[in-house]
Amino acid sequence: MAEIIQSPRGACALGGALAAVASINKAVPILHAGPGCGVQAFAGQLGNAGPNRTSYTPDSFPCTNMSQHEVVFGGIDHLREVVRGATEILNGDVYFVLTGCTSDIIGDDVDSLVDEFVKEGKPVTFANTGGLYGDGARGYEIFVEALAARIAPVTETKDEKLVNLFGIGPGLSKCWSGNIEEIARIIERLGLRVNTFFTRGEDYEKLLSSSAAFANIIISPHLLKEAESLWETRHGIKSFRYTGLPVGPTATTDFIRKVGEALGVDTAIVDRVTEEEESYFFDYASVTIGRLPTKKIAVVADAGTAIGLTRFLSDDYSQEVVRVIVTDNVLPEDQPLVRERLGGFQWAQNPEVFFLQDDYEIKQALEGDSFDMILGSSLEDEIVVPRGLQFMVVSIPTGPDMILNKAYAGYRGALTFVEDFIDACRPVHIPGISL
Amino acid sequence: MAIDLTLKESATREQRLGSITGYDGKLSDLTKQGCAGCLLNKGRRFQTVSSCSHTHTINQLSGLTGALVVDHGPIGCSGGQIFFTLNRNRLNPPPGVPPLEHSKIISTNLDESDTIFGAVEKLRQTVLAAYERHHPKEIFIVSSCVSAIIGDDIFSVAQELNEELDIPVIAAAGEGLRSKIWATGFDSYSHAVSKARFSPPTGERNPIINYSGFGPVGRQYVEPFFTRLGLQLNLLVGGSTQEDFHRATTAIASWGQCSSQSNYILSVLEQEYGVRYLQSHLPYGGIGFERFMRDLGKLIGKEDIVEEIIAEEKEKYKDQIDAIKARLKGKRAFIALGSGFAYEYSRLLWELGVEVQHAIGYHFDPVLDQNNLESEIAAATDVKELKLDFDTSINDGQEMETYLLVKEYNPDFLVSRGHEASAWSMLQGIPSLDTEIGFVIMGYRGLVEFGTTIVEVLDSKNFVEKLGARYVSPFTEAYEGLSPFSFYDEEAAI
Repeated sequence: MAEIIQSPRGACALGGALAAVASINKAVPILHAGPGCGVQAFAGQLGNAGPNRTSYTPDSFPCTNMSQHEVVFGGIDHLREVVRGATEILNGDVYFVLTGCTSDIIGDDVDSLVDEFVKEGKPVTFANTGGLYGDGARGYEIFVEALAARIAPVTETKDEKLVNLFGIGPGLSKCWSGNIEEIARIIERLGLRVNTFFTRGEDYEKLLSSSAAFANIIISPHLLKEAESLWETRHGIKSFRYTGLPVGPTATTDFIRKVGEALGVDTAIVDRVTEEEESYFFDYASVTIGRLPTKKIAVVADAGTAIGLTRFLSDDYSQEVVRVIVTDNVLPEDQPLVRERLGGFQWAQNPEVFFLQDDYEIKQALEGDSFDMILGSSLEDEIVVPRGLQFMVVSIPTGPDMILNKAYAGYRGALTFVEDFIDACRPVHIPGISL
Repeated sequence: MAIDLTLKESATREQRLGSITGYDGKLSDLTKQGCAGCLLNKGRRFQTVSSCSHTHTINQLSGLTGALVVDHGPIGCSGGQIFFTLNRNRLNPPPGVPPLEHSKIISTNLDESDTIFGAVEKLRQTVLAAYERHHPKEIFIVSSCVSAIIGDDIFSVAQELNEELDIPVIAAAGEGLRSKIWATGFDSYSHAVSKARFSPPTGERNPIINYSGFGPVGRQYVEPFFTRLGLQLNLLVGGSTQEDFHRATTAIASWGQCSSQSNYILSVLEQEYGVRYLQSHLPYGGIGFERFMRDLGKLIGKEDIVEEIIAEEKEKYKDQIDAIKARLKGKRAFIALGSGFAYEYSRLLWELGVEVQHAIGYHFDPVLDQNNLESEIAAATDVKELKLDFDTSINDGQEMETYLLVKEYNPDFLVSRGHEASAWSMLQGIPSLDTEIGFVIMGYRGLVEFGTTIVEVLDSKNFVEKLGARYVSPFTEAYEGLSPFSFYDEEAAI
């Protein structure tokens, strides 16, 4: 990660993990953290990805609100009382203790405390998610690692129709929930069933059944590598990885064909589904004839979103993406793959690619006049007005846009993207945050 | 207790003012005990998420024009700020400020190795980078729980860099673990900004009245009153410049949006520069407006103009207020707000003829910082002058406690803002208003705006009723049957 970060585009590990737990129906997060960590982590991740409400208790979680007292004397006794209280007053299916920096630095033994409750037969689990361990994406990884290592029971019995969908973490990108739902919809058309964990009211039962899946589908070029190996070694579940969000017919059909191949789906079903879905896409997409803008574009987004939108715009929609700034923390060893996936198009030239998290460096990388539109986060709106650029919010922080079940992924999501894209190209420019 | 700006940091509200986060009883008892200095706190062993002083320290500092904040913490401590500052960015920018410039907070991005080796040098380099990048007029360094626990001395770094660079570099204590009361963050902001921006005035006092608050929304509604009194309105809010703060020291008087946000900085102005802090009567609604304007008129010797203004405003909105009162007759309200506004909105509702069943304040300050002992806190003056009294409790955003109270009182509507009390109310099928604060609710015009919103909300309940019909409680039966204050624990009060 960058040394210093101006205007961080999301929260810390606690934020990513809290977003994940809070998006599971009837899962109760219990924070062992400072008094402001809950609000900051929630706002920084789920709040910054369009407004989001927790699935169960509205934005109000049990928390130890750690103060100087806990720093000096340790916080385990207080945490015990808060966990006890939470299990007594809330009808949760599972209680998930998430630690903040304070607890992790002073070394509270949360593991042993959670064991006390497990021995009583209470469904309590935990993860060490202090912000000092990294960003929101890291928090999501820690959650999935905890799922594989601690929560999902080891079982030999596998369900040949059940898959786990990972890679699109709650609050880590715009339209995360809609994207998960659209991708699950398409996979289910192949005759499979999908654990999405965070959408459609799915609950603890899905966490428990995850180890009975016969495969994982991971949609990300770089996240969840540690989790991937945990699933394989502890549960014997192999992962099929698709390196970027599939957006539009070319990428989504490629995704479906590869999923079908990897998971042994009948090619006749794959052919029928992709044909029907592509027809659906092009029937609607043809409506844009005569309204089709031609833009030179800069994309500012997390790796998965950047790959998805850039490939769609280049391969399906005759736009030219000239510059891409990847804003999440892609490790140096993963950068060549992300760079490769941001190029090699059927027609368009490869864009310039940067990996930056610091807002000052991002704004520097957006200088020049080689593009006339930015697809970025609400932080980019401050430069589009003075420069007369067109602008659309596609990444976090999303600003004041209302995002509910909207998707940009898949076939149907790509149509929604086209709607928003053409709306953003109206002659009278309305930026994401209006004056 | 006098404020001491020579100290590195402001003492917490608990230490300075005896402020509390746990109480249940009557407003009359709360203010009486507070004034007598015998108010005791109550703690809770079981708690839900609160908020912290760090959030408010960086939010306030980063809103200042010309300032730049270096946050000495992990990214999570500042990653939510864009979410909180969006509203500010929707406002019309003040003259000379380019539009849509997001506040600048640079995080030192503390990680695991920093907690082992310390990160003082990283902080130094970050401040230098901040200076090179933006050439701000001042830099504020804010501490976090992590930097405080590992013992990084931000004050020494600030002092060194203050000497090296040609701009003020000021440290502010922001670690959330210092205080149970998030309003302590407003004090950290005030302490730091006072050091950076106030200096003894030269020359004569100017006909200026200062206002301290979050933002300038609604300024156009109130400025004409002050113009008629020959006063210039000077704002100490998000977007204010160094010059605005310099000018403030020459003013005649100040008032603030609420005691939580404004108390410390306006007390500094009174104590150090003799700028009178008007705090006993806030100008919200008609009654508040009359009392505030009369206090001001007396101070500047323009009682006659004040009486003219009051008479005109009263007459202008009389019919509308009567119509609203007729519509709200017999309605009962529940309040969950920050401590300043909880006891302002209770008076506004009373003025509109609405019964206040219960008001929750997110903390309570029994006294304020200023030395003028004749002044009482605004809530106490309402008890004495208006005989206002009702059930009240204090909780630091303990929304599960709030939930039980809302259920118990079953009000016609809830008045709230932030901290999700409105979600617990709406999901149960009880309408909720997310209120405005500051200039917008000042005077009879503000009362009409507030009253109109209530009428509109009560006229269009279909969404909330349909939501409420689908409500499934997440709580156990045992909890649903508990008293709201079951988690109080005197021993945990510290």
